[in-house]
Amino acid sequence: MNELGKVLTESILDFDEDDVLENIKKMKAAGINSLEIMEICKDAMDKIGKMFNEKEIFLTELIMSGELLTSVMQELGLTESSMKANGGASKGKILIGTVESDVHDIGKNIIKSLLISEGYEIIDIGVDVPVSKFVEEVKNHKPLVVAMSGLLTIAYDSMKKTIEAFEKEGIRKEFKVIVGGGSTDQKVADHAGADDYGVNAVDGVEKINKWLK
Amino acid sequence: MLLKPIAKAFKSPWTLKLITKMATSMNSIISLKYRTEFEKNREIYQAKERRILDTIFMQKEPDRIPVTTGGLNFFPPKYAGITCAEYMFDHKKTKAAYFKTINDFDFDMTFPSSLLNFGRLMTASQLNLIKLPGRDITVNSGHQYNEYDRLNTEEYEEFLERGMDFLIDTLIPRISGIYKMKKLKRPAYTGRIFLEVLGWLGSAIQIMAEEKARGHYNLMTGIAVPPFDLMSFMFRDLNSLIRDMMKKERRQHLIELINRIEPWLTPLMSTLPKINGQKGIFFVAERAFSLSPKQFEQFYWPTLKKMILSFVKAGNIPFLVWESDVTHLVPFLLELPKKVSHRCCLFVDTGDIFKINRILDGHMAIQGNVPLSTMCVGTPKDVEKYCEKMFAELKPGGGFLNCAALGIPDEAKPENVHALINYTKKHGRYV
Repeated sequence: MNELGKVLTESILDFDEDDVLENIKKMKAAGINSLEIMEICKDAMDKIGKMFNEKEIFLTELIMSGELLTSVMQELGLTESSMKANGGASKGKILIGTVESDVHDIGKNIIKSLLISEGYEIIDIGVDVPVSKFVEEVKNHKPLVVAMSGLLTIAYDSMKKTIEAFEKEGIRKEFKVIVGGGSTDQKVADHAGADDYGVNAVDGVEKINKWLK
Repeated sequence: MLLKPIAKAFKSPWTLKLITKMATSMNSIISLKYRTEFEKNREIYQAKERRILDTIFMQKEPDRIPVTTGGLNFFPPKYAGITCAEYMFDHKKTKAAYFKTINDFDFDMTFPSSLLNFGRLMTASQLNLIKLPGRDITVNSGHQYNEYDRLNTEEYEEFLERGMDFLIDTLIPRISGIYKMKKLKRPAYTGRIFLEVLGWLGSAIQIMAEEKARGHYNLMTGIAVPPFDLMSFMFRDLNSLIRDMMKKERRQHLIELINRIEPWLTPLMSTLPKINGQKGIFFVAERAFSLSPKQFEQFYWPTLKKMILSFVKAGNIPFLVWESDVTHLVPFLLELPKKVSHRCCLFVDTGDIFKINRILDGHMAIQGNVPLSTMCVGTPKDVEKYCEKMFAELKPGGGFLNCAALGIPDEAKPENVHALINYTKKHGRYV
């Protein structure tokens, strides 16, 4: 298994889907079970996260890793719920959306992929989400973290208004809020009243992990 | 139904020459009206022109660091108190908001944000490439791209084989809703499109002529995108494009298609600046930042470099608007010979402008990069502090234009824009 596992890891880090799926087929033929293969893939994803932080790989490769994970899970016949049923319990519920007036979703989808691979349950409420919908969905799902994404500068005030609405409803203290995307930085987080911001998707996941450990 | 014959006409190089001739003639006629006013403001205009060109060409220090709008989008309507929808749809309101902005803020170089009033044209042509304020998104948001797969995965080979014919008979119908209309309605809509093109072009030319007459220097009237970005905006959603990059066969098809698109794209985009005699091209690279150097070298740089070389050879000045953090890709610019790089300017967004400056080391002029968050939620003191930091390292020797990251953001506080300009005028002098 070690040799096959090594070859699989290398093909993941090469971001070649054809080779990854080929290697998975070989591992299955060698009798290695799906969850063991998934663990190797998850270790590779951790490596990818570290490489992204070290600027050895970049955003497209990070997105590729998410796409690869989806393809791998399909190939192995695994779903999020089947992984939970096999003992992969959810680490917590996170609600994510792109704020009002912004329809960009690339950043949101990247962090969503990473959080799923970390074992979180993700409630994705979409893009251009009005303040009232954020409030309604938070009340329905009671997440531990609310992640707000936005690429454009119009998102800064949308983030602020959404957090103000949480305060007005008296629910703000029930969860942490992280903002991210585009030009979001500490100034934007302070302006909006968020608990923190993600420098990038990997940084966002690390911060959420620290909150929820 | 004229759209297909019109699209077919673009196969001939004479079509582009004819359109350029018509537009430049329109510009010459409209400019006559402003001759007298321009003479009054000629000195102001030429001083700004000299300042900008001395900075970009890097042969000597300018009299002062220039301060520019960069890529100005929807700051004018927000400043003037109208909606983005009004800015995009009402030519009169566009003009009023744009002139209020450039009259109240004395930049050394402006940007034709007024060209954004293509709302009526987009609506008439029923192009689904862009989400418009008031129609698809809130009235107070600028337009946003509508990306999804218009080219299916299995159609790569057909596109490569049939080229322009495939574009005309298969892809354009997926881009314009007119093809879904009843045939009887189409001629009327085609006529409406033609009138809206004239209206948009006429409005743009008239605003640029009046702007020049009042002494405002606007170098950039052209726009360009590299083939990879065009693929992403028009034909393949980014996730699909990324999946194409991951699969051996599709990767090759993608590279081939990118190489085939470039020779068609470059002359088209080289033409726009000729309309009003300016030379600047706002050359946007939105996807570059997400690529590793290896991916950039494989999918992006070869055609991008070809376009830069062609633009400069044609006498243009490309402004390389590389979004987000591209610090890891800046070394590629060192491949350009100095006679080319000293006719370009790199817009710096969220990257480390100090590191970029050290990498380029006088090879190319740079513009940037007060953070957008500082311009929108910071204070004038925050703006001044950042400018001070930049001037200390970037001012000596010239080759630096002061601006917000990529351009004045839509939600910039007016007092911060004033701070940017005033600080530059006070502390940016070389003599």
